[in-house]
Amino acid sequence: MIDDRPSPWLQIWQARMRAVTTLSRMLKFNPAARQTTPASETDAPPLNAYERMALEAQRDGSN
Amino acid sequence: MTRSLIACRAESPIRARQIHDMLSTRPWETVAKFASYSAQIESLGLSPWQNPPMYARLPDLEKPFDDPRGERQAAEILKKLLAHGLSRYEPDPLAAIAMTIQRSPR
Repeated sequence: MIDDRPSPWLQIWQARMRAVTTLSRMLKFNPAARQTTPASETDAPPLNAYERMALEAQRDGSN
Repeated sequence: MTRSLIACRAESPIRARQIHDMLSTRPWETVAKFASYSAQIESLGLSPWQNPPMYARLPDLEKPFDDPRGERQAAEILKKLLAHGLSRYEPDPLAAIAMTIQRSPR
């Protein structure tokens, strides 16, 4: 407080904190970003012929 | 094996050039087997550690299906190819088997 008014550096400090928070989220520096997200089904590669045959054999009980 | 050469050449201009260059320095049969290997890998979508049916052995029919090398599956496909009078070097084994079944008299 300078002369009963907030220091002009307060606004700069608040803007800096917002920038640091935003950048850390975007750059994934925060703890939440270190949690691995489960792969979506669309990320899984398609099955090849051998994998399909193995699944069919498992389904038919012939494995 | 001629069909395998045609199929392999059709994959891309780079592959066609590779086959052309190989034919100028290696025996036809060697290049045709290479083409068959490449075409089967492509048509079946195999992973690098899985052998195509052209290298399968019928004794592998005793192996389980969940073997990651897919030797049982390769043997199963080879068995069907031979049962339908097809070559183990078919570029697209499953399509060839399906076509033979479709054409066979009922």
